[in-house]
Amino acid sequence: MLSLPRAGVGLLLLSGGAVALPGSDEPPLFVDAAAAARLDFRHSSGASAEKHIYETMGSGGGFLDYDNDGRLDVYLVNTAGPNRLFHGNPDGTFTDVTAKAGVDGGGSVGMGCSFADYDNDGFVDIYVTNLGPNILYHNNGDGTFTDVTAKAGVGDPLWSTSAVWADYDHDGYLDLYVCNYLRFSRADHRRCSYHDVPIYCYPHSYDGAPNTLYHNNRDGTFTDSTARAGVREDPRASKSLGAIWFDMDGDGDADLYVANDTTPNFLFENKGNGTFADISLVSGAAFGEAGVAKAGMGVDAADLDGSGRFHVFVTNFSFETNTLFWNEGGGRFSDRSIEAGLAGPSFVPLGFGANFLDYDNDGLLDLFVANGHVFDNAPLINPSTEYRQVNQLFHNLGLGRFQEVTGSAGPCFARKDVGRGSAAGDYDNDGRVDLLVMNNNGAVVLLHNQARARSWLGMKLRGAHCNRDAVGARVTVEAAGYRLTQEVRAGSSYMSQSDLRLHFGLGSRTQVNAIRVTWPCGKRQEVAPPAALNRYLLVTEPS
Amino acid sequence: MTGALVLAAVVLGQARPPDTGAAGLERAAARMADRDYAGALKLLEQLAARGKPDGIVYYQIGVCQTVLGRFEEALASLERARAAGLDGPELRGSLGIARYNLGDNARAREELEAALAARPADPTVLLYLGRLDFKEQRYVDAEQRLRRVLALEPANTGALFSLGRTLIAAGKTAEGKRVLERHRRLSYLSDRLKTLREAAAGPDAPAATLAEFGDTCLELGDRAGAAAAYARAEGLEPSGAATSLGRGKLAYFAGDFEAAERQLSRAAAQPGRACEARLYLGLALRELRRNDPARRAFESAAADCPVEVRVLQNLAELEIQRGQLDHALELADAIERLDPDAPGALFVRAVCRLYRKDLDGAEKAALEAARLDAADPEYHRLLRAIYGAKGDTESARRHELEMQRLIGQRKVNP
Repeated sequence: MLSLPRAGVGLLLLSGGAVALPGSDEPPLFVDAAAAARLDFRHSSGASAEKHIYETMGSGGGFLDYDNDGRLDVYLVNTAGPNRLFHGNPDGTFTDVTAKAGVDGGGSVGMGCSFADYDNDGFVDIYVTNLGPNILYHNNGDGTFTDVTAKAGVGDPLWSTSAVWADYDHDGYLDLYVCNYLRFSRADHRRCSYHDVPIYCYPHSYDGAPNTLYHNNRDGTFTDSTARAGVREDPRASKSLGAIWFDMDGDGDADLYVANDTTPNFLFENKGNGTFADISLVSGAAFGEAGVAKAGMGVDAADLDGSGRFHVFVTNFSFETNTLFWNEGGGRFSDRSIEAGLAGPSFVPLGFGANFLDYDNDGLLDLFVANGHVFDNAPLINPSTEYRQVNQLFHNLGLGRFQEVTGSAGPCFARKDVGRGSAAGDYDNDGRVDLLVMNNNGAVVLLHNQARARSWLGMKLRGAHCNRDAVGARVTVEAAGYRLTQEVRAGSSYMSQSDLRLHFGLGSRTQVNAIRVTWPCGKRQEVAPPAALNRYLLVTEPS
Repeated sequence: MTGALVLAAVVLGQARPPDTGAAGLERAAARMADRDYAGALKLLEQLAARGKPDGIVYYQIGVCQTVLGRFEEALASLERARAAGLDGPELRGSLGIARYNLGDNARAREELEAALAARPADPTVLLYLGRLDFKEQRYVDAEQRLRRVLALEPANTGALFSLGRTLIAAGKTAEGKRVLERHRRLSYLSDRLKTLREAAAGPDAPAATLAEFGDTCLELGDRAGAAAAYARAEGLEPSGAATSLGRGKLAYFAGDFEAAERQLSRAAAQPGRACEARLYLGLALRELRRNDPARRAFESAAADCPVEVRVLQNLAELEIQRGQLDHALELADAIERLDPDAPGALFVRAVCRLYRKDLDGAEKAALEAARLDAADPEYHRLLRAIYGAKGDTESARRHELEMQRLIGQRKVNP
C-alpha cells in the first residue's frame, strides 16, 4: 500500500460533526474554475435550422488519469468539433494534449465517453460514443493513443450514448455495454413542430435502437454477446441514454441498470454464469411510482444509508420528477423520490447528469444534478419551463432524506445553462470532490469544491488477477459511527465517467477502524487502516 | 406523480370552476389551460396581494404550485383557502395530494378519505389512497381500491402498475407478474402509438406502417382507429396481405368468427404473421365448434412458433374434449415448464382429475389456480362443478357467485 502523489493537501481537521451546510460567511462552496484551470472547451452542438435531434443531446466527458501521474486528466466530447484531452498539471491547471494524443474523434458526431484499461496493460483507454461508429482509443502508454476500433470490433454504428465497463463474467477482463438511443441518421430526419414553429423532435418520432454487450475476448478483440448473455430487448422499446453496472444484490457480480427515454428502464440481474435475468418489472425499478415510463437520462447508484446496498437515481424530463429507486434488498426497489425530498425540486427542471458525491466530507453521499432543457424554445411549448436551467445540489441528511442546497452552493449554481453530462473527481487532489459539467453548445464548467476541510480517505485500487482498474471492486470503510460502501465504476451519469478512485468523507473522525475490499473476481481483503487520513491510498490486489 | 400528478392536480383544480367572476381569475384559468402554470401563478399572486381574496384564489394558487412541484407552498396556500372558508372534496383532495407528495402520509390519508367520503367514485382520490395503502403495506385495502379504479377507468395505467406491485408484495406473484407485463405492454404500445401516428400522418406512409398503426390501435382497444388505418393500408395494397391478421382479429373480437377464419387463414400463410394468426385462427375455429381444424391450427403454432402458454392451454383443452387426458396432462407439464407461475397447468390438471373422478385432487388444483389468478372466472366455474360433483352445494353456490361477480367485472373492465 503506497501513498499516491497529491498536491495541496495541507488539511486542517475540524472538530465537531455538525452538518456542513454552506453558509454566507464562508467562501462559495463551489466556484467555476474552468477558466483559471485553462480548461478552455466549448461544446459545439452543430445546431441548425433543421433541428436534427442529435444536436440537442450532447455531450459527455469525464476524468481519467491516462499517464498514471496521480493527477486527473479530462476528456471532453464534442458533437460538431474535435474532442479534447487535457492533461492535469501539478498546479491544478490543464494543458490541451489532444493533438499529441490523437484522440480528437476524427470528425465524428460525438456523444459520450468512458475510460477503462480493457487490455490490462496498466494504462487507461478511451471509448467514445458517436452518432455513427464509436471509437476505441488504445493508450500506448507514452501519451499517445491508437484507434483500434476495427481490430477490437466495438465500432457500434448506431447512435450510441452511454458506454459502461464491467467484468460481468469474472474472467479478469473488462466487458463493455453500449447504450444506443434512436434509429436516426440525417437521411431519416423528420421535421417536428409545435404550432408551426420548428422544434427538436420527441424520441417517439423514431424507433429505438438496440443496445450491445461486448464481451472481451482477452486478446484485444470483443464479441457481441448481447443475445447470449440475455440482455437483448425489443429494440423499439429501448431508447437508452444512461447505464450503470452495480452490484445490486451484494452477490459479487455486476448487475446492469439502463435508463431509457420514454420507455421503461431495464434492470438485468447477473446470474453468475455469464447470463442475465431481466427483472425490470418485478424489481420495481422499471417505472416510477406512477407507473409511467419517464424520460430516463442519467443514472448513478450509491450506498446512501450505510446499508451496503446501492440505491439507484435516475434523472428525467421536465414535469417528471427525478426518481430515487430505493434498494430494499431481495431484488426489490421502491420509488422513494418523495420521501427523500428529491421529487418536488426536480419537477420542473430537466435533468441529465447525476452524481453522488460527498461534497462536504461529512460521511454521507450527496447528490449533484445537471439540468438543461432539450428544446431551445422550451417556453413556447411549456411557458413554465426554460431552456437554460440551474444545476442542483442536494445535501444528504441521512436516513434517506436530502435537502436542496443549490441556493447556497455558490454563484455558479445560480447560473443558468444547458447541462448535459457530468462527472465527479478530485482534480487537484485536495481531498474535496470537484465536478465537471458539460453544457450543450456552451462552455465546460469545472466546479471547484471549496468546502470546509474535513477528514477523508481516498483509494486507488489496482487489480492483479482481476481487471487492472479493479472496476467492480467493492470497498467498505468503517469508523466510529460510520460505515460506507462504494464500488469502482467505469461509466455513469449521462454519457460520462467519474474518477476511478474512491473517496470516503469522514467528518471529524481521525481514524478508520476497518477497510474491507471485495475484488471483482471475488477475493476478499482486509486492508490495514492507515495511520493518518487525508490521503490517497494505493490498494493492490493480493496475489 | 409526474404526468399523472399534473392531471390529478388539474382535474381537481378545474373540477370547480372559479365562481367569483373575477377577471383575474379567468385570465389565470386561461393560462392554466395553456399549461402556463408559472404565468397563472403570477397573476393569482397579484390577485392575492390585493386586499382580502376569496379562498378560491388561494386554492388555485395551491393547484399551480402543486403542478410546479412546490408542494410545501401548495400546502400553505391550500390551508389558507380552507382558512378563508373554502371546503369540499376538491380542496380536501388537493390537500391530500400535496401532503402525499410531502411524504406526510397520515394526514394525506385523512384528507383523501374525506374527499372520498364526498365522492366515493373519484378515481384520482382512490388511486392515491391505493398507493398510500401500498406504501403502508395494507395490501388488501390497496388491491380493493386499485381494482375499483380500474373498474372506473380501465385504461388507468397508473392503477394497473400499482395493482401489479401490490399483488406481488401480497404474495400473489403470478397474477402480479401478469398485471405488470400487461402494464409494460400498454406502456410500450402507448409510446409506439405516438411513433406510428406520426409516421402514418404523412401522405407517403407505406402500407406496412399503416397496418402496424392499425395493429397497435387494435391492441389498445381502439377498433375504429384500427379499421380506419387498415382501410388506408388496403387502399395502397389492395391484396390486403398486410392487414389480414388485423382484420381477422377485428372480426374475432366482433364475434364474426367466419370472417375471422377467412382473414386469419390468409394471414397464417404469411411469414411474420403466421404465429399469431394460427393462434387466433385456432380460437376462431373453437368458437365455431370446429375442434379438429382448431387443434391443427394450434398444433402447427406449437410446432413452428415460439411456444406460448395460450397455445398449449388451448390444445390441452381440446385434448380433454376428445378424451385424450394423458396428452392433456403432458401439455400441462409443458405449460408449467414454460411458466411455473401460470395457473393454466393447474386448471388442465383439475379438469382431468374431475373427469377421472379424483374430486379431492381436482379441488386442490382448482383452488390453487384460483389463488394464482383471482380475476379469472373460469376457475370458479370449474370449482362450482367440482363442488357440485362432491355434493357440496354451499361451496358450489359460493363459487357460482364469485364467477358471476368476476364475469360482471370483466364486462366493465375487459
